[in-house]
Parts: sequence; C-alpha cells; structure tokens
Amino acid sequence: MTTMTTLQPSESRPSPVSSEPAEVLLRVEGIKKRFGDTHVLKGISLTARRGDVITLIGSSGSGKSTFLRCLNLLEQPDGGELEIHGQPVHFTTTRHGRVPQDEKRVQWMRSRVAMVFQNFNLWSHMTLLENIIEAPIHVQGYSRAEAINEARCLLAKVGLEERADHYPSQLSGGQQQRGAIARALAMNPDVMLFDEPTSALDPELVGDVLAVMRRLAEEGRTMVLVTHEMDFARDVSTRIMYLNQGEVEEEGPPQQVLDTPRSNRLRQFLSTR
Amino acid sequence: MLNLHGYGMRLIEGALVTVELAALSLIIAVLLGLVTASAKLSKRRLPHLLATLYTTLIRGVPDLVLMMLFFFGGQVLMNDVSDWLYARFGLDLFINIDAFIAGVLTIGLIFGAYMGETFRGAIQAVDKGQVEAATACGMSRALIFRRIRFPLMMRHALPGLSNNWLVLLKTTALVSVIGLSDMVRVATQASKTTLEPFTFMLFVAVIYLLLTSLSEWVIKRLTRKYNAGFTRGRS
Ligand SMILES: Nc1ncnc2c1ncn2[C@@H]1O[C@H](COP(=O)(O)OP(=O)(O)OP(=O)(O)O)[C@@H](O)[C@H]1O
Ligand SMILES: [Mg+2]
Repeated sequence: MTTMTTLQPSESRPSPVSSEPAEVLLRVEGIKKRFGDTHVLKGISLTARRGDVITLIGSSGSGKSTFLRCLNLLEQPDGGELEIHGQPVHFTTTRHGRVPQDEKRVQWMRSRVAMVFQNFNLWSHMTLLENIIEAPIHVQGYSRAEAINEARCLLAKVGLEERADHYPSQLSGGQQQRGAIARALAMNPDVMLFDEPTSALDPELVGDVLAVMRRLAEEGRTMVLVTHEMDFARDVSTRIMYLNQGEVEEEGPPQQVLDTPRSNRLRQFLSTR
Repeated sequence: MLNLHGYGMRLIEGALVTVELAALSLIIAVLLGLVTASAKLSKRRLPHLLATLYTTLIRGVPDLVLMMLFFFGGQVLMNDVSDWLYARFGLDLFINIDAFIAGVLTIGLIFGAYMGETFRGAIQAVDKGQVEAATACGMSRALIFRRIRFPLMMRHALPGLSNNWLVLLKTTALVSVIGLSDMVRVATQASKTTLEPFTFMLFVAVIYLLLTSLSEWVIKRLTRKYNAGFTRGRS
C-alpha cells in the first residue's frame, strides 16, 4: 500500500491578505432547478476565485449533488447564469426546456471544470493510464507521448505510479478514487468538483484520498466539494456553504459557520455529525 | 478424395457469394439493430412503436416466407411501378430486382430485428456513471459513443451477436430459393445432373463448417479484446 508520506512538501497557498482579490474562475448566479414539481434548487449563487476551496454541506436531499452537477452542466439549470473564466454560457428555451445554445461551448466549459464522483466512474475497459490520457488526447488534442508523460507525473503525485497498467477492477476503492482524481487533473482544469469523494470507501481507505485532496488545496487548486468529513472541511475550506432545501441558509469562513452557527437548523445539523 | 465432376470452380465461386452475402447482411443487420435498439429505448412514442412493429413482424414469420415475400412481392411491386410509368409517361423501363441485393437486404432486415434485441440489452447494461464521467470531461456524444459506450456495450452484446452471426451465416442457404447462385444452389444443380447429391452436400457442409470454425476463432479474439478489464482478480 502506497502512502502519502512520499509526497513532496507543497508550495504555500496564495496569501489571503494579498492586496488584490484573486481572479474569478467560476461564477454562478441564482441557479434554479426543479424535477417535476419539486423545486430542488431555489436560486443558488457561488463565486470561486483562484485558490478557493468551497465546501457544500447539508442534509440528504438538500440539493448539494444537483447544484454541483449544474456547475458543469451535467444537469441543465432551469434558471440562473453561469460563467467560467468570464465566459458566459448562453441558454435558449426549446420544446425540451432550457438548454445551452452552443454544445461545443458546453464541451469546452466541461473540460475546464472537472468532476470527481462518489463512485469513481473510471472507464472499466481501459487501464488506469489509458483512463488518464483519454481526455487530454481526444478532447484537448495532446499527442500520445505528451499525455503519457503528464499522466505518469500525475500517477506519481497520487501515489499510483506502479498501478498504471492495472484495470480499475484490479484496484481498491481508494486507489480508484485517487486514479479518478488524476484523470480529472490531467485536463488541468480551472476548477475541480468533488461529490462526496470518500463516501463509497472503506474507512481505512479514506485517509489516502483526503491526503491527496488536501495537497491539491495546499497547491492552490480551486475546488468545490461536497463532503461529510467535517474535520477535513474545516481544515481545507476557504468557505463553507450550508444548503437547506435548495437554498443557502448560511455561508462564510469555516470557523464562523462551524463554530458559531447562527441558524438553529445548522446548529442541529452540526450536532448530529 | 471427392470427385466434383468439374463443378469445383463453380462451387468455390458459390462459396464466395455466400461469404459476401453473409458479410454484407451482417453490416446491414448491425446498423439496423443499433437503430432499432435506440428506437426502442427512446422516450418518444413513434420510433418505439415502429421498432416494436418491425421486431414483432420479423420474429413472427419464418425466414423463408419473409424472403419469398420480399423478393417476389418486391418484384410484383416493381412491375406495377414500371407498368404505371409506361402508362403514365410512356417510359419503358423494366426494373429487375437483383437477387444478390434482394438477398442482402432480406437477410439484413431479418437479422436487424434480432440484433436490435441483443443491442437493447447491451446498451441498458452500460454503466451510466462511466458515460457521465465522459460527458463531464467535455467529450462529444459521437466521441463518447466511439470510445466509451460502444466498447462497454460490445462486452455485453458479443455473445448474442456471435450467436446471431452463426445463424445468419447458415440462413444464407435460403437465398438459393430466390435464384441466387450461392454455394447451395450450385451444389443442388450439380447433384441433379450427376445424381451424386451426397458428394456435393458433403462439400457444402464442410465449407459451412470451415466458415463457422473460422468465425468461432474470430469471436474468441473479439471476446478477449472486449472483456479486457472485466475479469476480476487483484494483483
Ligand atoms: N434526476 C432526478 N429526478 C428527480 N428527482 C431528483 C433527481 N435528482 C435528484 N432529485 C431529487 O432532488 C433532491 C436533491 O437531491 P440531491 O441529490 O441534489 O441531494 P443531496 O444534497 O446531494 O443529497 P445526498 O446527501 O443524499 O447526496 C432530492 O429530493 C432528490 O430526490
Ligand atoms: Mg448527493
């Protein structure tokens, strides 16, 4: 079993007291989504600047996953605006509802906002290395040699250099998830989304995955994540958003939200953790 | 050794017709099967209805009957069309249905229905999460189909697909009834003139057996290719 202790010490994250605020990478305003008659998201806004680590918390069914999926348009929001790197996504209304105007633009946008899933979702017919080079080659147009070079660095970074030629079915859950993180990193995305990345893992495998994520946060990666690991959230987050029934009930720096919650519901939610 | 009474060359030509017929029919059947499967999985009513009608019809009527229906029925239709063209516009053209093309289309049409069922199950068996991961990487729908959906689907489709292929190959024997000079028809004619049916049918049987054995070998290789990564076992 490879551990994270082999990792190099990382550069420090951008200082929070720099004179100029960091560049905005992802901005969404008033995101709304309903399934049938249920309003799952009732107008949620979020701005992620370079180096931000924003953690979404909330009880089951509060809309965390749906919101995250709206951020890279795996789910089409019924209302609201979305901007990546200052480039807005335009929507039009058709018979099938509100859809993005330009599919190519959406594909480009998705390649800038990578997603790590609860169930890893590595492609089972490809080796780990093939999983990682797939999008760089076929979406971003890198040569095979370049992609493989980069992939080997990323595999080393997540402690899986010896597992390059293994298929996902030959890896443990923790290894698969670290592989999935490497696959997301391979596109060098502006923002990384994580939806409960450790929830499907055996407890003893959670640590390795969190260690990789912690290191990404320290390197200044911009991330939006959903997690139930409160200690981890407190350590790495720059902001925490508490969602309740499709609305942001409270948000702010981790100490403020977790230690001095204002709403009763959040207090209750935290006490059950 | 078999004495083929000088029919050897014609039998080989007939065998080539059989192989071409089977290969082209397979291509049509696979394409039709993919379309049918997507139509059946579609949420829209009309494609779903048409696909159901198609598979019900094909599966409910014997292949031989279908073949004669399409071929002779098609010829009657074409004759009517050319009669009408002549009466109406004075155009004198006789459209003859080519037996080879008719055979390819008929067998393709028959097996398209069976392939449709095979592909439907296989498409449903593909893990949605893996497709979603590809979407999230910014892949286009076409790229996702080629790189992710198709190989994942093939793993589930291959057993049914192989089975359909072997049956299809043997079904080509039916085209001799519509006058196509495939291996079976040549052998039938040779049997009549030489009065040695056993010799010629034995030859035909051996060729079919060779073709199916070759197919089995290819199928084994394809299975190995598409099953990569699915055999569980930790290192
Ligand atoms: N595709 C869908 N169709 C219909 N309803 C859906 C769909 N996806 C989510 N929902 C509903 O939307 C609500 C929010 O779901 P979501 O998965 O976003 O919650 P969550 O906060 O991620 O919960 P959990 O902590 O359990 O993952 C739930 O009531 C869910 O049933
Ligand atoms: Mg969720």
